[in-house]
Amino acid sequence: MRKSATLDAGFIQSWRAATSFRATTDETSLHGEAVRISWWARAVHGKEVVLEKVSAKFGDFTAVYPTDLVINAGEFFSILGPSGCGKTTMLRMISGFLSPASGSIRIGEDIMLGVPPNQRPTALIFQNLALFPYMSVWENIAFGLEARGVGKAERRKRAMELIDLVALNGEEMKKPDELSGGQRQRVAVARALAVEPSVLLLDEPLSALDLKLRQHMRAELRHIQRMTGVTFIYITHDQGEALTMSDRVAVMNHGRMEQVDTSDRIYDRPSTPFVASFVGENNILRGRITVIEDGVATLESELGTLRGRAVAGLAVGVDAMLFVRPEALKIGHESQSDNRVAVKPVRRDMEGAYVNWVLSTGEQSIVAHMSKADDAGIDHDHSMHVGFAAVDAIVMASGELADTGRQVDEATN
Amino acid sequence: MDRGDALLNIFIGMFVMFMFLPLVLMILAAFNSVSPPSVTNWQELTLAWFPRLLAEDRLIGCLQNSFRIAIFVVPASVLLGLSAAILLTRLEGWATNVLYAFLISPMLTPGIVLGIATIVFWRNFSVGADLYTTILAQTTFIASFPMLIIMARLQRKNRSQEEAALDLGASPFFLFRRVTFPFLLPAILSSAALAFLMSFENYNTTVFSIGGSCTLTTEIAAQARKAHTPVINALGVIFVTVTVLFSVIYTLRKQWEK
Amino acid sequence: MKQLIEIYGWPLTTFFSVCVALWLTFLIVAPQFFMIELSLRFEERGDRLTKIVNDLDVLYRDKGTKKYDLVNGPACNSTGMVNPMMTGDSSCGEFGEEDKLRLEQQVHEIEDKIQSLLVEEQNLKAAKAQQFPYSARNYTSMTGLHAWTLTKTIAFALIVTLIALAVCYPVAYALALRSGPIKTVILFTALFVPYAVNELMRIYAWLMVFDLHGLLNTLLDLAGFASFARDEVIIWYRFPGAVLVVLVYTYILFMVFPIYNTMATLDPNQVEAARDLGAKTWRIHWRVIIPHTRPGIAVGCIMTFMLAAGSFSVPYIITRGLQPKWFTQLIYDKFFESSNWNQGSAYSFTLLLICIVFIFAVMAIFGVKLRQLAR
Repeated sequence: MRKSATLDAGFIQSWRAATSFRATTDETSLHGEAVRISWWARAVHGKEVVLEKVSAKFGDFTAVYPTDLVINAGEFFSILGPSGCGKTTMLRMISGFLSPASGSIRIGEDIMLGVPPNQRPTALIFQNLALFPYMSVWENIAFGLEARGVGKAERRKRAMELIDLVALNGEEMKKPDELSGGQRQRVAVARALAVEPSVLLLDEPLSALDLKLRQHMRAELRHIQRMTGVTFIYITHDQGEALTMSDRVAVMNHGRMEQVDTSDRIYDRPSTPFVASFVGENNILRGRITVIEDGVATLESELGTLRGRAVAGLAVGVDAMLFVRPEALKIGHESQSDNRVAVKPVRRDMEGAYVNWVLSTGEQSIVAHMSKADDAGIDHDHSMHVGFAAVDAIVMASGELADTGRQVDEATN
Repeated sequence: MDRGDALLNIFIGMFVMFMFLPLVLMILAAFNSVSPPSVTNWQELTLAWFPRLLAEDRLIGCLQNSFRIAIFVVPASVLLGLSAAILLTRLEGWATNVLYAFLISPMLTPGIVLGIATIVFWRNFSVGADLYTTILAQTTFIASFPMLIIMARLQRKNRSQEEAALDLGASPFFLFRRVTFPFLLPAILSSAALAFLMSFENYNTTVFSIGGSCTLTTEIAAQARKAHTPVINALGVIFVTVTVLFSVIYTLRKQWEK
Repeated sequence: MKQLIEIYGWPLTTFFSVCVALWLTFLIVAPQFFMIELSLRFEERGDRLTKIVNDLDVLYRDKGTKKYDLVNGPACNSTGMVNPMMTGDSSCGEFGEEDKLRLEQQVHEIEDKIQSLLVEEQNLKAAKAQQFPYSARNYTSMTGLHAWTLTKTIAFALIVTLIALAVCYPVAYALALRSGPIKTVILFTALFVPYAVNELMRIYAWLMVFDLHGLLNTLLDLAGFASFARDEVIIWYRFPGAVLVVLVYTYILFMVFPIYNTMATLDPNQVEAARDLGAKTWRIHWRVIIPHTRPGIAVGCIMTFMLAAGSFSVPYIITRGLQPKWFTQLIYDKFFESSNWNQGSAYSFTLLLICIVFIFAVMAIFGVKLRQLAR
């Protein structure tokens, strides 16, 4: 624990050096550290990535349906989705390893049609990092410069600056397989940054790390992105990663963008049943819409009349789903919410920060998260009511859900 | 269970004896003064057969031919195998499977058929059977082995290494020189060693394609069929010594690297 | 192809493709094609055309000599004797008129003969050219003896394969699943040293066992079953069994390693689990180990059969002409003794066909695909 803390401190220090330089002008180059990374900080700046009607096909299989997407310059953008949803295909099209079946990709001012990967202003960080095993750390980092014909002395100088930047000092002569997982991660990041990309593409680079390190690296990546201003496009199936790091998240399923929004809105205002069920935990109550008034939909279900915010385009008479988060549920006989459902307790799981209640309506089970304080007043043995406010629930037309088995497990992943 | 293990141990012991016995006899007979070589008919301990080896002009000429052939077969096989391995790992579709089947077919073809096909084919261009045809015939099937060794290595590598290099701006030549080739180097070296051993010890293909010339193996065969002298045993002792020496060095190096 | 060019660029891609194309065309496909083509051309030996060609040769030579004599006069030899063919008493320098006339007469006769033979040859050639040049006669004209040799060779190769399998399965099993580090080193040495040494040396070493004064006869002598003193020894080279043993010894590695390689990928926990669930040893082999090892067994059988059936070295050295020839030796004789390349090619292709049939049979029996074969 202590070790990781000092590591972090060193890392942030070197970033501070970078920031101080970026924030001010050349005059501050009196600061020794700032001078050392000057070439680099001056060189990089993010560009926007614009996709117009981009699609991808493998034979008869459509991996990505025609998609329009604008990723702003300097944005941390995540593409979130289950495996096989087309997110990696998306990334490979942007990096140039795959040509779109239709549509065009623009990075900054330049149309990327026919531009090979080695001439695009992008750098890709692979899922397995793809470090070169027989090259030392500094050679790995300097590879892109070597490929561009930069002289050895200059290469080494720049590599050392980047090593400083990612806090790998003293490790430069080691081979990748002598490093820890987190260190390898940093080498991969430094190697990609060395070529001064405008867009950094990351293909689930944290998936091989253990939980602690993953959380630590999240912060580091976010930090690097903030400092450099490079556009990050981050691919992941881990919603925690996507939500914590990103300015905006795109949720993808079956080759389509289900929703592109900020992390908060993705969580609070999902626009499709898939997003609602894929991101975070949600209880799903089914019924038929009877009334829509002032943006509030009323639906008749087997559990009685329920009310929640209606998404745009919802019509009376359709089969609908009401989504309500476990933490929005209140348990108790006297809950005076807009919605009340009679339930029997099934199981109480102590999760640490909160208590997870599994309840049964007789037809289906409902999950509620209680704070420790609220939990104290709950009678374990008798049937009770759960209630929730209409503003905390979202009603949308029935549609495809994410694999429901994941909902309960989500918290542990 | 114990009885089964005991049986297995006895069997393994007999197997090891079976594998070593002829070699041990051959080595011992090299130090016996009796000709034709024999262990059981022991006369007197001698080293005389070793210097005699140098006097066998024909044998030495044939040995030189073996090296001459190997000098061409080894690089040719490695080059062809490397090319095929790269093509096969990067191509897709049914045609690749057909190509693969064709390229490993020489391994599964009897050696004499390869030798015959080679001399029959090159006779059309007035190339008589000689060292050239042996080089071609040997390369035909030896190249399949580097192909398989290099393919195994290529498949183990995630393609992402090459893609990473490309993504970082490497030109194709630079990528091959700096990423692919160094990665394949161990496989290339070991397949070169294998190709040399195979070329050097080959007999069945060689005897059909070499015409009037000879290699070490054709010469040993010719002598073994006639009244042979312990000179061949002496040569065998040298072979065994070199082999054991190399494997010891190899093992020690592996240990040391750990 | 697009992917290749993207990664390696077109110059390197072209280079690799050309290399593979050369290998495929000039080393693999074309030689086999020409061998098969040659095997389908039957070469008549002793038919009219062959005779005419031979006669023409003789006649041309005759004519040449006579013409030379006409121009240069009768030949003298060192003793001053006139060529005995020539009558008359003239010196070495000149022919008499009579002789000249006779000679000219003879030349004319020869020329006439040549003319008529040439016409006949042309007709025969034209007739032959019109005939379809290919036939299966090189295959169908295989004598009963040769067919029997072929059958015997295949049978022996099958026996060798089975023996090798029976020997190698326990060895591979011990190596892959049941041995500690020391046993592994000993076994690997026992396998590798003979192999790295040289195929011919492996065979040659067996002469120390089978020779007249070899190990076997000495042991028999000691046991009293044979006697060097009374010259009652066994000539082991006469027994087909000797060839079998040496074939097994020579090609055993090609059986051990494929089996070992696949067996080594088996998770030992699977064996433990089976044992834990109460399976007997044979059931563990039959239900767990053998199914996993199938591709290795298939490769081992294919390689061993192909090598044994196609081996020239072992029968050549071990039989020493004291046994009927093996099929490979027949092929050798066709090429280099009777120089009948056409039929030699036919025999060679027959051998290849048998191996191909065997490969497909083994792949069908073991349910293995081609991609799994060579690993």
